[in-house]
Amino acid sequence: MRAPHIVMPALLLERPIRGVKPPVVMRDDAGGDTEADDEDARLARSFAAGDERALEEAYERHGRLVHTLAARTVGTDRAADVTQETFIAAWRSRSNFDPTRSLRAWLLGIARFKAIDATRVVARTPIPSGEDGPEPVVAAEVDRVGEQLLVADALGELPERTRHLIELAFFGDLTHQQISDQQGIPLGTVKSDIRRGLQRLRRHLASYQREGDGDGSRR
Amino acid sequence: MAPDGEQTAGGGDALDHRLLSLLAHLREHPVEMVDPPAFLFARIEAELRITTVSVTSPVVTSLDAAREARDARRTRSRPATWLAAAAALVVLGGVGGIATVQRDDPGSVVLASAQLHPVVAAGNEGQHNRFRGEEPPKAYAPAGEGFAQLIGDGGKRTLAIATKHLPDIPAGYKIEVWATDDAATTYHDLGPLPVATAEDATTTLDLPAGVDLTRSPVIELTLEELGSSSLPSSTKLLRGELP
Repeated sequence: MRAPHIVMPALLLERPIRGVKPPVVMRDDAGGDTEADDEDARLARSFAAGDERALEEAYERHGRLVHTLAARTVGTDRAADVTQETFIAAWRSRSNFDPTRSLRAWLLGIARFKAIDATRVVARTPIPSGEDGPEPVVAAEVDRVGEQLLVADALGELPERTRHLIELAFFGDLTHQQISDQQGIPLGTVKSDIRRGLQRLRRHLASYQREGDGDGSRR
Repeated sequence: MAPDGEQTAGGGDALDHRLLSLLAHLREHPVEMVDPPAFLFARIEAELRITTVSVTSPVVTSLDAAREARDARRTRSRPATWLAAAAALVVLGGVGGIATVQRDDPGSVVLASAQLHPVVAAGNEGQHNRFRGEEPPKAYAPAGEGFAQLIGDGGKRTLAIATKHLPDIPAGYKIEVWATDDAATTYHDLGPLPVATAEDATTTLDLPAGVDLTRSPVIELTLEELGSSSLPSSTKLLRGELP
């Protein structure tokens, strides 16, 4: 990969993204499920069904993501408590979890609430009477970090080739044709791989944003 | 914000744009994930189980349940998952677990807890070698981890020990738990772990009268021959100090 040159995110959005036209390539109806999707779905179902092994597996797969959000928002000293509270709340409210959605995003959504709560306790911010909504500024910051971590984490779990192709397209700033030439992979495959990968990232992000709207998962 | 020539922005487009923006951010700011501390899952399990058990019965009963679960595991085939081991970890908890114990049953309180870390082999040789002429087990690479918790219940004190990923224990050997001081001058034998293999184990040991953990706060797990004397061998597996 050649040395990345600096591109401001806004600029990246202002132009057609090198053959990746978002509204066209990321529709949900394209592409079949991957094995990873099946794995996610299986774990989500058994978690919702109350299988204790699913709690452990969810922790092993998503504990780092939850803990990283906690560490980045409340500090390393108190992060373990937030992570612990997150998984305990998630397990106790698992009946609120819709297993057709992203467990990763749902857990992170709960961690978001717990982190905001923890921040508020530290700051001794008074809770506005009549509602217990989070402080807007704190919430926005936690949301922002959460989205960044979620995308990074989900990217890391994509199939090896898909992740590599997305990295070449977005971080290496190559066109799909350049990637195809360089990797010796047919152009159609490059496009469909990237499309499917982005769809998965998009699904996690959509789930997480819905969590932020509040759906009773808060404990 | 809409790119030139794109369709009218709806909710889906906003999401697409957000994703691309996040990827762009990631490109400039790679994320480093932070591992949770060891045994955090045991704490989570412990808190969930303490609460479940204590709804209908006091925590003291759950200690008995832990022993029963442990004894049951000895006799039937072992469900060797960490979760199964953690099922017996009823009273093992961190901050959250302590709070729960105190709230639900004032009689049973976690007094102190410590992580147990692998002992580096270089420091293992020395004054306590007791493998008289016998070939000691092959040297153990530092491995595994553990968690010790001192629990007070009225006048009675119990040490709960959990281990994970210990090396294989050869036939004819066991793992013994000791309390000692920083200088390793005096060793108190607290009892064996119910484990014959590398499986994850939990146990609770009643502290013998006369063992003062403020003077011997270092908890050590060693490899011992079955039927050996009351001195620890030089093969030390895990060690940690109660605060």
